Amino acid sequence: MKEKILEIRNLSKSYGKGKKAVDDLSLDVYAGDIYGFIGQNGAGKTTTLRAVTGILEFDGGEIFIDGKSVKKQPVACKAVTAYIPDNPDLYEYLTGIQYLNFIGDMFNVGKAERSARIEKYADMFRIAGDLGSLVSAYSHGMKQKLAIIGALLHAPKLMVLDEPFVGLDPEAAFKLKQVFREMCDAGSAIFFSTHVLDVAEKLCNKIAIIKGGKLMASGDIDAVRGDESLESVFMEVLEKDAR
Amino acid sequence: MRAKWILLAKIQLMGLLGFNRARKTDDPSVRRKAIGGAVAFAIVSLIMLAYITLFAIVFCGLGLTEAVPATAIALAAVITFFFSLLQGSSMLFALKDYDAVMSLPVSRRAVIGSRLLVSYLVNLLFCLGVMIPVTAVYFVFAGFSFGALATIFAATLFAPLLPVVVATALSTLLTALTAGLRFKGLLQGILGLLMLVAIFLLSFSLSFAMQTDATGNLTAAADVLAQYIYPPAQWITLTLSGEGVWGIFAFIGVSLAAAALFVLFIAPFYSKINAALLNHGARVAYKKGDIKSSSAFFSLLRKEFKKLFSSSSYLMNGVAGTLLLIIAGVALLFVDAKSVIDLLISESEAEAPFLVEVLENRLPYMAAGLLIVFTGMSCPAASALSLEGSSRGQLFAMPVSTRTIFLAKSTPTFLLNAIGSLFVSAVLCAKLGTSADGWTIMLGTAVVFSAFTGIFGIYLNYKFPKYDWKTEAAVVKQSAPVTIFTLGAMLLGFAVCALSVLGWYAVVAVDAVCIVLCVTLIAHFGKLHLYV
Repeated sequence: MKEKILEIRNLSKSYGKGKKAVDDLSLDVYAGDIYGFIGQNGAGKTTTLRAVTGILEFDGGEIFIDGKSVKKQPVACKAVTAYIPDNPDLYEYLTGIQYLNFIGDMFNVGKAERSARIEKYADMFRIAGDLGSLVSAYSHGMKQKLAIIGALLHAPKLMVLDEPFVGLDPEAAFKLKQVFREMCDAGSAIFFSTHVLDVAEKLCNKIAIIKGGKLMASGDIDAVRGDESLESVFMEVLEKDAR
Repeated sequence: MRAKWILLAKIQLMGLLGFNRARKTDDPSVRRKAIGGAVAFAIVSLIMLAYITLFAIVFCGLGLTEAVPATAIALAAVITFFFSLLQGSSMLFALKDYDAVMSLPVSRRAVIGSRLLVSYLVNLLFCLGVMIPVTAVYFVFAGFSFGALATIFAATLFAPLLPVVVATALSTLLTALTAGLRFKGLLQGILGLLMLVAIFLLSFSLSFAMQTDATGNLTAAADVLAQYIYPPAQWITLTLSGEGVWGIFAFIGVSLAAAALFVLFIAPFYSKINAALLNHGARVAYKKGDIKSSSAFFSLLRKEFKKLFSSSSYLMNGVAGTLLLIIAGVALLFVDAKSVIDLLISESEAEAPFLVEVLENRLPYMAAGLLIVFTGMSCPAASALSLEGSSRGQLFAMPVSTRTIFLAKSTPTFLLNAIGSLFVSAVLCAKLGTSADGWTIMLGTAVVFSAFTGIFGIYLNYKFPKYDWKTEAAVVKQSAPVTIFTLGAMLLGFAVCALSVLGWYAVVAVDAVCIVLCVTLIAHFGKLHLYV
């Protein structure tokens, strides 16, 4: 039996007066899962991801990471999670290496591990030659790469990413998928949102489709799509009312 | 159709003041916070109005009625200049919406004009706060006339324009000179602070030279302000006293001409300066030795210091009071304060015996009140959380407690203020030959109020955060927590200063309350969670 890394139970979140962004959503992510989270703009994907990472307070339900409650033990949950938002706004007044040192300190990463991982991933994403520059000098893609290296620095059990492939060059996107697979082989889990159905179809072993804050379909990708393409299933699901 | 520069200014003001968000939001907590901030701001403003009214009454009571409006305008202009200089050129350059605004079909002059208009309007609010009570008191003492009302109204309306233009022009010059350099933020901050010190020393030396010639009364002091520190203000007195109607028109004309010239002169360079500010130089690789590790607290603390020293407007606003304290301390080193006080005591013995006790024993307590005023002017902690802006999610997702984050954010405020205020306190006590209890109270207040400034500043910022800013100046200079803390500390400090005439009770009471609040807040921080 695989270890349950993320458990979302009846998650609900409203903005303002009764406008439900997420409505009674439940799903589980196990060690080794690459779990894709798809939906239209405004469907509730980012709200769910932010609630999982403990930076957005939610109204109802519970979220457990590695068996611990995000509400009751937020610091312990954050210590095993990495989050990359859709548009990483990094500290522009730090250099790349200062930023990575900062993240390493926050997550208590030892100097030797830190050094090895920075070297490995900075070379992999071809950013080593820029780590001495201020983050403000980076392009969007470079910031994205730096955020990814920062997220990988503490070898998280759960990686939560919001549209991770936007802004990455094809080589970096390929490398990131490789890293996802390596992490999952090592017992971590990936939970990410995407609009690119091709990526989800080829990369994920599990998929969840959200519409209007409600979970419309979820589970093993083969079970969800059956004999059809993910695109067809997604379009069909969007036409249906919430189950 | 409204001019485009006014539309641009309106959009900026909507973002700056946050009224639109409070009005249109569905989220009751956003509205509650906006109302809470407005109420706190209104309370502090009302107290400030009461202070200004009191000062105006005292001045008029001393027979200085004629000089009161011009003196108040000169004072408001000097304060506007000081704060505009602290703001630097951040309202003009490298704003987050630069690309979006410049892609609109508007001229560079319209963009610059709109930025200047916003700065002017914000400062006009302050000038109105000063001039409304002063005008009311003036009419009570001098009698009402429509001519005087029109003159004072026009003068108030244009009072902030010239100081804003001159301060922005000086800051723009610094920005243009340093725009292409790697550590431009730090350089601009340091050069800005040096410029501030130079201007202060120049104005002090001018007023000092004037006072040695004058008869030494309050009229002379008021004249110094109007004639030497802000000369256009004396044109207002000319019109009010009936000596020349042209005075007010000259005042308006000079203010408008300066603004127009500034816009026309800067427009051709606007894009170049912005491009230089946004160009970040060549690639730099990292070295093995750059990989270092420390505790989460010290890493956060280092980040806070880096932030403080990388942004000119944050640095200038964050250390202004500390810098003034250090300048005062250095100046005191060269003054024979003991002899001056002894002279004042011997003069007071015959004319005002009650002053003898105050001068002999109460000065350290009164100075502690002034320490509170200046320490309160340097509160980077009150904007440290808001400055996380759109990157706050990253910080909030880290596995560290809110208490650790808040303590790291309040520590630079504490350290900088403690250094400045301990230095000036030690110099003052040594120069005055203060007794042990005087030393204890001054040094104690220096440490306690510095700590309180950091702790309460970050708490205020937590209660009234502003993350959706386009320029850091909107947070470090104009946000509710900074305004509330600075004005609150000013009022508290002056009250302590006045009450210290009676003894040490007021300052010790304030210190005790600050200690209790610090301990309570640090305990409370442990229960807080940060959400985006």
